[in-house]
Amino acid sequence: MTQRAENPWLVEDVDQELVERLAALHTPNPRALEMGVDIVGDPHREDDAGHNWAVLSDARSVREVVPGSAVVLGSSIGRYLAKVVSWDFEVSDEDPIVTLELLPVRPSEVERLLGRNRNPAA
Amino acid sequence: MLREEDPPDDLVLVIRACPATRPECVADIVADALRSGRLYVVADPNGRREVLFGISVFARRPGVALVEILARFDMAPAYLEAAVGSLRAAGFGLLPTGVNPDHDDVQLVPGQREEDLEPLAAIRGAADRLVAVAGDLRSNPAYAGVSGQPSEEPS
Repeated sequence: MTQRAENPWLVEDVDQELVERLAALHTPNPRALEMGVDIVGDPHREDDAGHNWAVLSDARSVREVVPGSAVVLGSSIGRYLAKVVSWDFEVSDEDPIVTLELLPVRPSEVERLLGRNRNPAA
Repeated sequence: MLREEDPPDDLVLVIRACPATRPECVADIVADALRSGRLYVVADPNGRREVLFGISVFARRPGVALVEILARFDMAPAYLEAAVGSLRAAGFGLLPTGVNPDHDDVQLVPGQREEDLEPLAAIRGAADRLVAVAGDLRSNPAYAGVSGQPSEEPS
């Protein structure tokens, strides 16, 4: 861990050793695999700071949901793009809360946008 | 974090943006409350810690368009809403949680201590009651459909 916010449990930047330790303990979340998303969650949830949240065991892969990553969150009411804000270890050392900021753009819109803005063929 | 406020009985809350059927909506509420309960505790009115089997709900304040609240859930075909007074009359506690002044948690099963067994049956029963209090699923005015296609009507 190389950087901490005011809350000492809240980790906004993780070192590779921690990621690898948690990855070794991790089992890919079956729903995340089934849905083809990085992490499963509920877009209604808000924590004290107004962020959405899930837990690391809801993820397909630990390495894909480190703080700073852009992820696809899957839910029963659709997919969301999100940015991982932090990991919060207050409740568990091995299954931290993954704090997320939901982005106000749909994955399908991004696909469409990228589709019409491909680099011109050489 | 609990805000020091007491939502009025006539305040309408958006309880949930939902899939198209009530059973799916109940299942979502149960899953979310269980996840909350495994992570969060709050202090009850006497200062004792109790597990928060909470679900996030959002105030629909006078003058705020419903579509504004539901814009974030534009892939959900349906939603549920209920007045604070109806929820209280049905025995649900409402906790003003977090920095968002329009965000509250509905406590589905109050009085549980951290050492108690997870009250799965009680949570399921409370989720059923909550959906019953909210009444029929309503069409989400923000619904954009999956890939922009028209939706099934909520059942």
